[in-house]
Amino acid sequence: MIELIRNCSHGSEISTYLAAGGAGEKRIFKTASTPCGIENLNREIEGWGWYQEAIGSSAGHPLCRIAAQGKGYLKIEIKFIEGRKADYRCGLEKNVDIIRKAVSHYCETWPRSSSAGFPLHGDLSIDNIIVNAGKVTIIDWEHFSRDGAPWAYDALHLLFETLWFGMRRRGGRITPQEVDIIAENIDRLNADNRSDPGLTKFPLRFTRGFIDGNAERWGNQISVFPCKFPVCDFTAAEISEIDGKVSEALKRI
Amino acid sequence: MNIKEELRGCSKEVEGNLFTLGEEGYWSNLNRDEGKKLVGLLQRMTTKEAISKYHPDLFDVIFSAKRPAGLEMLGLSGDEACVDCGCMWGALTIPLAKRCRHVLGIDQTMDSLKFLNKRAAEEGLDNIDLLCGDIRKVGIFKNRFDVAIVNGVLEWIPEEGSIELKSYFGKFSQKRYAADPGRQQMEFLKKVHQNLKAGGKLYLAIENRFDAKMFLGINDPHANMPLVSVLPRALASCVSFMMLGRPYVNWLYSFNGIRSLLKRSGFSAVELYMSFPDYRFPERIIPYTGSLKDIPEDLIYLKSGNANNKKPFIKKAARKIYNGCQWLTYKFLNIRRAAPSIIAIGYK
Repeated sequence: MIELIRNCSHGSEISTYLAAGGAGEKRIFKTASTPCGIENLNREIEGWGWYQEAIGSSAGHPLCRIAAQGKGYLKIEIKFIEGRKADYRCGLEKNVDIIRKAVSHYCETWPRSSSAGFPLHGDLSIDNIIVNAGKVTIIDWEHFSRDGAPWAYDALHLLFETLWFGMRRRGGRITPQEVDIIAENIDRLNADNRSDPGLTKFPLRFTRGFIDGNAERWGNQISVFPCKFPVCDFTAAEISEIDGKVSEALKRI
Repeated sequence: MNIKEELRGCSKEVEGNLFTLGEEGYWSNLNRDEGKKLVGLLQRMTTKEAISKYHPDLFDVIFSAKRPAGLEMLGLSGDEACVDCGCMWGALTIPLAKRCRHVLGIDQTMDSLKFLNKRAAEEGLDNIDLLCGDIRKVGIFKNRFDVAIVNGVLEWIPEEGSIELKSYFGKFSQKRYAADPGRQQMEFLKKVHQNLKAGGKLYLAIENRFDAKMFLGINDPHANMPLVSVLPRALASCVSFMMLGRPYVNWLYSFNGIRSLLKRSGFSAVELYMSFPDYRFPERIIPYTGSLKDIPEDLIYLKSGNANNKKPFIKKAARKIYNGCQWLTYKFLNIRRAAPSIIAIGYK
C-alpha cells in the first residue's frame, strides 16, 4: 500500500509518498509533473549522489534513483532511512545534542576547501535530519547545488532556524544559553580560522544575506511561500542583537 | 483500431484532437457567457494568463500541482490507455497524460474541452484526445482502457439538466434530475466497468457521506444544505423538498457504501483510501486500514483567521467546539469511517 505523506508543502511542487511492501520494507517516492518540481527532483538525485559519496555509504545501490520518467513527469525512489526526527519547534536548548551532532557531521562531510564555493543543501533544518543510534543522516536534497555556497552556510541556517522557533515560542527573546550554543557551534565551524569573517562577526546577517542574494536558487518557492525560511522573518533589530551577542560570546571562547 | 480511428467512426471531428457525439450539455463553474469569453481569450493569451487575469479564484482548481497526487495510488507503469470521465479543464487529464500512454477526456461542456485542448498544446502533449458527450451514455469503448478516472463526478450523475454552478444553488430552481439517483449512479459505473480491459482500474474520488464535519452542521457541498448527506435518503429528500422544492439527488456514499456500489457495478476488488482535508487538494492520503492519530491538526481544524480580527464570543466558542470534535473523532478515537473524502481504486 502507498500513502501520501506530504503534498506540495512550503511552496514546492513535489508529492512525497511512503510505500510499504508485504515484507515490511519501506520506500520513499517523490513525484512531480511541473517544470519546477522536476528540476527540484533532479537536484535531489544529484544531492543524494554527492552525499552518498561524501559519507562513503557502504550501500551497494544508490540511495536515490529514478523510478519512472515521462514527458513532463518524474518519479524518484529514495531509500527509507530508519530513525527519528526531533521536534524543531522546541528550539535550540532542547535540541542541543542533535545540533552538535549535525554540525560535526557537516564539518566531516563537506569538503574543507573549494575554489568554486561549497556544496549547498539549501534547506538544512531539524526536520531534515534523521538520527539513528547517534548517527545523523541529512535528507531532502531538493535544493542541492554542487558549489556556490559559502563555507558553513547550511550549518548556520540550521542554527538560526532552530533559534527562530525557540524565540517565537518565548515571545522573541534570546536566552544566554542559546547564545552560547550558537557561539560554540560557530567556533567549531571556524576551527581553522579560514572562513569568511562574516561567519564570526555577524553570522545571522551573513546567513540572511546569502538567501537574499541568491533567491533564484530556490526557484519560485520564496515568492510563493514567503515563510519558507523563518530566518528571513528576523527583524533588523533582532539580527543586530543576535549578531552582537554571538560575536561577544565568540570572543570569550 | 486505435482510439482516434474509433473516435472518427463514432463521432464528428471538431478540430485536431477534439470530437463530439453531438449531444453537448453544460456543467461548469463558469456561466455560459463567461465560458465562451474565456475560450475567445485563448486566441491571444495562454490558459494560465487567461485564468490568472479573469478567474483567479479558479487558478488552483485547474492548475494546482497538488491535484494529481491521488493518481499515484493507481501504480501506473506508463503504458496505460486511460479515460477521464468528466474531465472539465483537465486538472487530472494533463498530469495523467504525463504519466501514461494515452488519455481520452470526456465531458459534456464543449468550452471546457476547447480550453483543455489549448492547455494540452501549451504543455506539448500529443497523447490526449477529447470527446464532447454525455458520460452517462458513453458505453461505446468496450474493453478499451486500462484506467478510468471518475473524479468528483459520481455525485453529479443524477443531475440531468445544464448546470452553471454559480447559479445552481437556490430554492425552487427548475432543475431536471433522475428519479432514482442510486440506480443512475450504478448504471454509469457499469458503463465505466464495460469500457475497462480485464484487470483495468477505476480511480474514483468523492466526499464521504459520513464526514465528521457533516454531523457538525457544515453544508453538504453539492446540495448546499446541512445534514442531508448523513440522514437516511428518504428523510434527506423531505428536507430537500422543504428547502429546495426537489428531492436530494446528489448522493454521497460511506466507505462501505462505495465498496458495495463498486462490487454491484462489476468490480471484483476495491482498495479504499482516506483523503485529508479533501480529495481535490489532498495533503494526506492514507489507506483505509491506516491510523489517523498522526494527522496534522491544520488539516482537520477550522482556521482562526486574522488574530486581530475581533470575532464575537459565540463564533470563537463554536470554532473551539468544532475543533474539539474533530480532534476527538480523528486523533483520539481514530474513527476512519468519518474521514472527509474517499479515494477508491476498483479492479475489473
